Amino acid sequence: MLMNRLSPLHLLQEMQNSWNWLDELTSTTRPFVAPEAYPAIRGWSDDENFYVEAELPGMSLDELEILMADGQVLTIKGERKGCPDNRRKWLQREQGYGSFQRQIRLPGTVDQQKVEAELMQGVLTIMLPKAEEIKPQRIPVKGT
Amino acid sequence: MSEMILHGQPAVESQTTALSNNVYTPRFDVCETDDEFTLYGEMPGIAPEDVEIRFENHQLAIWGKMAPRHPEARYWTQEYGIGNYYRTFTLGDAIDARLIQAEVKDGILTVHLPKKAEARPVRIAVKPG
Repeated sequence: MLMNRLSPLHLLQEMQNSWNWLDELTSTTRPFVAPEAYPAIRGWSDDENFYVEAELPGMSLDELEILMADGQVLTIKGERKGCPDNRRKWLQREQGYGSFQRQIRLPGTVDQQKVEAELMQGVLTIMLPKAEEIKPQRIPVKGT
Repeated sequence: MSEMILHGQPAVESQTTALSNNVYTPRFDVCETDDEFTLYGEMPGIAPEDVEIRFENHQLAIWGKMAPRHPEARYWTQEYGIGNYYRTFTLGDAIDARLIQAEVKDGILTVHLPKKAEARPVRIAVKPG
């Protein structure tokens, strides 16, 4: 084969092909690993509310969508857009970009109409007021 | 790329123990333009006054001090931890250390590392012979 100016990308592609081939041959012997759920969450509760917190640095509110269903299923979805500036040359990219969707079942039912969300310094905090029927109740003890 | 060696080794120093024992390595994107290198790091929850950036002997050390959020809460799930952020970068001679600037917005730390004048590319005009 006569060739000049062989691109290093070409060689990388060849390597990639070999890896793909290896991957294909061994895929049945490996356990299936689910992709990491994004975003990771922390959840806690007090007597009145459930709270869900997620770290979403660099995102704005209009890129986020928060949905409630069945009074118990919370969905956080959105798209993390990268910087569109093409004059830049990226030397290293560790952050992830793209669309995501995370769905969780809360430990109890909530009042869907009163759910509040706040995004501060890249931390999303969702406050979900508990439905009346699951709030703790004080039982009076009668003396005889 | 040769003038910038990037690595992140969390190193625990005594000054952080007052706030939290955990140290996390934030993820960074690094880009280069004709005039500067720019670092973009994920540091959710950080306030500008809690970021400390030191440049010494070609080492850029970035500290983010995080107080625990809701330490008293009763958690039913904790998929990530909250703690201090630490990351170092080794910078080459091309960077003018006196002009380094940084800002924090929406949990992203941006560090501008301007290049020295002699390290910036110059366009050479080619005249017809």
